[in-house]
Amino acid sequence: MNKKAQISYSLLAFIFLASMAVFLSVYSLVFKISFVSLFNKFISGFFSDPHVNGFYGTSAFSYKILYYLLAVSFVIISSLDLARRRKKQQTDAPFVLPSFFRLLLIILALLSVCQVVQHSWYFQHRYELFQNKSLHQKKIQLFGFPYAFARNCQKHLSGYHRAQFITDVDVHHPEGMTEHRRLAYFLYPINIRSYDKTLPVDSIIYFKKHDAVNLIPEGYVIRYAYDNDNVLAVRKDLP
Amino acid sequence: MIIAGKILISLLVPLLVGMRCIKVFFAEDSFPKYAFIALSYGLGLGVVTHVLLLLAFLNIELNWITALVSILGLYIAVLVFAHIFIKPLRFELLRTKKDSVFKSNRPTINVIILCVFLVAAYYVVYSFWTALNVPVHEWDSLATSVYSAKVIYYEKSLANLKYFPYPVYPLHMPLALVWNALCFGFWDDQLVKITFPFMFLSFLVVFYFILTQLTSKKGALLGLALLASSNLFMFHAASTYRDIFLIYYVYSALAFIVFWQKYRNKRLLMLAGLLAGLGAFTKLEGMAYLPVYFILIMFILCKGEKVKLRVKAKEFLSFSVPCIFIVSIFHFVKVFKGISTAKYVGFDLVNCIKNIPVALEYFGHALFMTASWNIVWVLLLFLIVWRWKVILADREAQMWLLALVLFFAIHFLLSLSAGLSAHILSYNTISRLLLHFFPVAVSLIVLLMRQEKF
Repeated sequence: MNKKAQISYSLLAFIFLASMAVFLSVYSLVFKISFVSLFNKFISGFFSDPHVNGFYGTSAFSYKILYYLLAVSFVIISSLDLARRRKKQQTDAPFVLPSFFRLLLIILALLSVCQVVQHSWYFQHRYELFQNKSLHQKKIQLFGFPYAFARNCQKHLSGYHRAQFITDVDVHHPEGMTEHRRLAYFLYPINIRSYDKTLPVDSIIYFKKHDAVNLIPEGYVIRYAYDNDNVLAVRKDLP
Repeated sequence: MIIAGKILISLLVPLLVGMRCIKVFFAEDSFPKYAFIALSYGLGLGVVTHVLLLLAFLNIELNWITALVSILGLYIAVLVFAHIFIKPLRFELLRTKKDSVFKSNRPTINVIILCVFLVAAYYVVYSFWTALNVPVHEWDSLATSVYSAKVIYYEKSLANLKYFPYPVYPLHMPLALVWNALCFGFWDDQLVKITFPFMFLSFLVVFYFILTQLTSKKGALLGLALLASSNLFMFHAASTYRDIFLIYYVYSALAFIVFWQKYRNKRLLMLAGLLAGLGAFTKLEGMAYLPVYFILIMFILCKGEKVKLRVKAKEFLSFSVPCIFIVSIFHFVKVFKGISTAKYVGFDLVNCIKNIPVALEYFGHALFMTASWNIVWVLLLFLIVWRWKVILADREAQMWLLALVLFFAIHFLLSLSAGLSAHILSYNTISRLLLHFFPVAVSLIVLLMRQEKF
């Protein structure tokens, strides 16, 4: 990078950062929000915690401000270019587009630095959460009751079994669906999900089913009960 | 110590199989060593999962012995077949360029390059740490893909495929996890994930290699930096979603088609066909992307040099035969098991037109208003406008742009259909769909920037 380019990059970075400082100051005065919290809100929009479904939520606030600042910077660069070309009687090629391109690179680099820093905090948080813990402890921490219940059921019923799943939870609602999927995953090879439903079952999983202990059908016995609502019942003849 | 050995076997077998497959087409020194290894791993993993698929389909119990013996048998068969019928080509055009990354007289550039290296290394470390320290916990994985893998591992067959959650979904990733579990001899919610960071690393290497073919090594590193600037891409690098697999196959297939356009060697197309087929075996979207490759090849054949129709037909078949062969294997299994995808099809013209503004809003928001992509899409848009004349004169840039437009068009059109609009037009799905061709956007940026002096 030559001296001229370095000056150009520094100037562009200054224009952008100055526009940002002015904009955020005015915004904080008008809407009576502290400058620091406004700045934090603006920056954190570029790295929110990822959703468990694998996407990043909306950052419209931060991006709207960013695009506004880009527009302002574009106007400033164009004005500077116009002034320079007038002075030199328009002999030079315009530098608006190359400068704007450089500005985009600067912003990309600045945001990338912010992202890496924020990602490293996220990593540190996860490190503290998971390091030096057994797999069991991690799963308890991540999945809570469905995992603990599934594990206890497996302790009382080993091997492959087709099980009927009975619950009061609405498994079509996201929260209930999540619990059901976790339970199905951790219960397996006690299969409550992926089998031909016309085939007979040899066990029943009552999960968050009110007063399940009193609902056990004839021919079945309770093999494991976490409490009255969470029960594993198996056919009497099952070893 | 024993488990380390088992992990090593689970990684080495696909690698060796992949190496053998590539050596059928090209001599080993046709590629730089690093690219050869990275390409071999992805390709070999695809072969291994297909072997498992066929074993399970033929009701041969899936276990460590049957899997390894079958893979070994296939390996020897390929070796013998290739030895008798095919002479591997020494393709020097794809060798690494001689320019060096760190030999710049400008200290600022060297510092930037070092930073890019460090950031890439940080994300790779993060990806490996997550794979080895955080159990499978992502929603889709627990609900479908990893759940299916666990079921296949315990049932040792595909007997209940019809009753799997979303049985139409391809099984490449679940079977890759089954392969790991078979090697370990047990199912471990943490260890089975070991494939993911290796796929991520392989993709980074392949991506870098492909960019070195388009621009200088420094330009390729810049591309790597642009890729790393995307939060969403880095999230998926450490998750147990299939997307990183799909990105690997889609991007490499596309790149080899572009290379073929440049060097006109049919073997590049054959490799592209295999990779495209494996993409279709990874996610349903991989199937939807097949028209992109075919349109691109047709475009090149129609607009390219004047050659005989017979030659063109041969070139077209060089891609389509391996691609359709791979695609048809899983489809054959699905048809045989009575699994249909018909319920997803359904167009209603009035609804489609009504959906256009909604779809535009969703796509616009997902591209420009989320923390997923930094400002990479803005940069790309700006470069396309600014560098339009360069695009008109540069065949390679036209190819990448056409591919990008086709990827967008496919998702946009599908998002208008009655059956799929609700599914695609959600921030969850749309972000992940855009992710599949995000590296294509980065490649186009790198191409358009290659003549720019910084």
